[in-house]
Amino acid sequence: MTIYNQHSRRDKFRENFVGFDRLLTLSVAALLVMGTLLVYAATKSWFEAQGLDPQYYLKRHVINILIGGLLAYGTTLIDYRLLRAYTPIVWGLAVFGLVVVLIPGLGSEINGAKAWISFPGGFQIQPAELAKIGIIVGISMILAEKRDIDANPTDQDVLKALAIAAIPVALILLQPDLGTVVIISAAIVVMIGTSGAPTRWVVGLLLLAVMGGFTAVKMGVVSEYQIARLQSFVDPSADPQATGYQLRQSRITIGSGGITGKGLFNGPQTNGRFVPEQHTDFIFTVAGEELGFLGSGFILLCFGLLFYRSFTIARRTNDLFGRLVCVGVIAWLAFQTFENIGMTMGMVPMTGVPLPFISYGGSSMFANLIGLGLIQNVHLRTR
Amino acid sequence: MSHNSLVHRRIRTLLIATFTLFGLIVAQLFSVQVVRAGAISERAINELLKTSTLIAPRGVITDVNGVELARSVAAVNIVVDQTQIDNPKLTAKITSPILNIEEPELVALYTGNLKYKIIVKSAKPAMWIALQNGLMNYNKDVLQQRNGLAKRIIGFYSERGYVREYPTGMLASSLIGFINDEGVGASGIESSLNSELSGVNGQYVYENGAGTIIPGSAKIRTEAKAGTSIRLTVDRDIQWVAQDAISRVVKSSSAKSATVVVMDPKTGAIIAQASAPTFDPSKPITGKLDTIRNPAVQDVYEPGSTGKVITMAAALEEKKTTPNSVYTVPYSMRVAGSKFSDHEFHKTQRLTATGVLATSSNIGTIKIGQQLGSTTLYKYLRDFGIGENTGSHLPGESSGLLSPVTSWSGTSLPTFSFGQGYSVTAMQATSVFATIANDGIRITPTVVAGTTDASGNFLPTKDQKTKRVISSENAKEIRKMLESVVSVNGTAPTAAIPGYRVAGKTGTAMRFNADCSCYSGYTASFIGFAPADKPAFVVSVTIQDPKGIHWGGALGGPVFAKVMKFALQSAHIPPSTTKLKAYALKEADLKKSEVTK
Repeated sequence: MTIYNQHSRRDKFRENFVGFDRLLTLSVAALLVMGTLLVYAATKSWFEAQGLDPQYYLKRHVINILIGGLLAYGTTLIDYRLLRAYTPIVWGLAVFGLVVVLIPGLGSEINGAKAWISFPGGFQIQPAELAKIGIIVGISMILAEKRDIDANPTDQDVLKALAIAAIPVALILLQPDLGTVVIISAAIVVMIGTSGAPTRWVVGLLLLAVMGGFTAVKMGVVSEYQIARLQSFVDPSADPQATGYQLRQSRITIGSGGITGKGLFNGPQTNGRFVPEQHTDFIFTVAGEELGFLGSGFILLCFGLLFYRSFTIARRTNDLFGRLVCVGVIAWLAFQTFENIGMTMGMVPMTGVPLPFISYGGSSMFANLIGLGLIQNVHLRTR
Repeated sequence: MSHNSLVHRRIRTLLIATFTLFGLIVAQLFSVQVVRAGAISERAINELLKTSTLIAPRGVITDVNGVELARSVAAVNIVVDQTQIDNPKLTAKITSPILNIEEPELVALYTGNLKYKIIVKSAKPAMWIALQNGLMNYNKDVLQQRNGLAKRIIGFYSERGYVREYPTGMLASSLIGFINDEGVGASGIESSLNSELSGVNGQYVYENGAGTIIPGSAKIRTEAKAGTSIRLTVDRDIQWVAQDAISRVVKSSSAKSATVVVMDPKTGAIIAQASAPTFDPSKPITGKLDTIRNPAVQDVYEPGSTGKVITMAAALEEKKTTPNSVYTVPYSMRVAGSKFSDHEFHKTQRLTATGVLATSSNIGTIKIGQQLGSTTLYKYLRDFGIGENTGSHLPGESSGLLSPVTSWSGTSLPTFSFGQGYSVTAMQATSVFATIANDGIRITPTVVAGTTDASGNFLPTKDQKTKRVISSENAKEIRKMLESVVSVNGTAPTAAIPGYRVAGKTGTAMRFNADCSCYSGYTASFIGFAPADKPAFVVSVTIQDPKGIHWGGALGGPVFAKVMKFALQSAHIPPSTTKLKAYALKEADLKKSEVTK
């Protein structure tokens, strides 16, 4: 009996693993390896110069990946259709975390945003990262609920979905974390569109997003820090030492890599720490300088494969809930990738979002890998 | 349209939109990294490379035996970039005990937008190391905290430099001088030999990171060339004795200033040159700037009786007189309508030329001067270096004052004969006696024995310029005559040194005071050499404006004796073995055979 059980568990594990979309797994694994090297390259020489452990960030990053990997694997174990039952709990936890982070004394403020909850022992979580999952799963549930396979969501369904999303989005706006709001908004519009909702909703929401962003800046909902970043995007030379400096340095760093790059650990701009936040939000500059066009192109190729495979999975499934979850995760990761890389080259305004699977940061890494787990889960159950 | 086809169409649209965005990113990446890479790289390098000065250490100044009198010791300037200090208060709190600066003062230094602000100038390297360690420990702790990277204290740099140390303090400060804030010699040897001592600054380039030198990136472009070291002719020990003696006499006589020069008459080397009052070169100069002067070459005075030596030497050389020539010397006489007199009343005497010199008679000297005539006396004054820079290359050296013979009046000849009416520096006066000690050959005085370049090659100073002024025989005669001065019957028995034959001359001159353009006070001096038959050293003592006793013999003689005795002993000069066959001072003492006139 015991033997049988063990055997079956191992079997199940193998079956699960083999059942994964291999290309998807491989592309993410490649991104994780690249990210590990880049985090190490971004922090090694600086920590060495300070007489600190040069592998300080490397070690933490690897631990984050291991925990995230376990979470991703865990996510694939239970049929995602059963997960639907837990959706209200996931959503509730997300909202709870977002409320706690706003309470003075519990949330800590960095760069003018209250985005973190600190625990004793130097462990912190960023609820907004995990809230992305809650929102995506929550909206998917509403839009996929109790409907014939061939029916499109009604206006009422769309309004319900928007209401579900509105609460956490409002809480994130209060931090304020504009970058995350933009990403979540993109995911919401994409999911509503994919659910088959009337075109007027899709167009209307897109217009609303543009106008909303404009009003947010005008009304002062966005902090001065955010406005300064937006202004420096329009004219980087306006304030070269503060925010425009970041953009200027970031572009110079990427550009100086050329086609083949300066070699890993050998980027003088990286080692000189010209670009701030280089192991987190600006990690793509390390790839640009040290690995050149070939290296950063490889990263883009991996992302491309990741999204292409995910779209394939979303297309193949017949289950609307699974499809919406897939599309939501893709929209989130793709838009975040675009926002992050675009920002380092001055294509989009600067917002503090990490590069998925690459940047240092536990909460973001966990959320990304859980997202991956969700897609694999859908793939596993599509026969 | 069915739900399924609608959804698939929308997914396809989404796919296209996603890859369009990625296409944009790839295009931009290609543009930045491939198309415009060259231009961007160049900008990166410009941003990265910084050039900084590698300060060259200044040369060492040593005494003749290599004892360091001035040296440059490594030091650092501690500098901050204020824009990198996020929390001036916290930074001040942590750095205050290391920098020994009060917190509020540091907060002010750390606050602002300056990329370069000197916090501590010329700090000991140990302070910089302590600061680095302190900050490193703090940063190590803070990195364990959330967002530790942003809480680190950064923005401190060091600049390598040097501080000038004067290990012997005030010992030879008027001679050596000091350097100013910019590291440029401001007085003394530091100033006159500044270009040799300075060396050539080098240059290094480094890659500049966020507020610090990227480790291992500093490269020296041009090596700093250390300054040339100067070896002086000065002997520290003799200098010490001279400084001590002159300081004491200034104190005891309440003199305005005083100076001692010790010279080797054969080489012109200045063995010691001390002045009082003086200054401490290692401390900032405050108060009256007078103290940083070097009175031995910068202050001029009328020599008085020491000038009588020139008149006597000239008369011997021109064969107008001999040591035994007899003169009728009244207490006073009128020349060109002016009355001249001796310093003490006496009945009319019959003195030999030696007696005239030994008793320092003005009237006797006037008579000898009249034998010479103005043009001849003027020629000898010039030959002995009066009115002309000695060429010692000490900064601010004065030439003294000697009006040309064409503008002399009727009283000029008698006045100039006994050493008034023209002025000299102590260095010039010393040189006159050195000429007599050196068998009539005048030699340019020097304080530099040689130089040692950065590679350690010693280059001795070239032989000094020489000029014969009187014959060797006449120089010998004068030396014998000057020995009488130190005799019991002379004006300076205090200058005698047991065992050694000493020759010299006192001077007690009326002092011209520039403040009132009148004569007030005295210049008391004694200049002499020993051993008189084979001179090894000339020592001159000049005391300006002493209060109370002002006789050159009484004030200058003991200083001379003290310094000369030490110099002779430290040079291991054996005591004299010969005895002076003294010339008669008075006609009555002359033997029949010696009467010449």
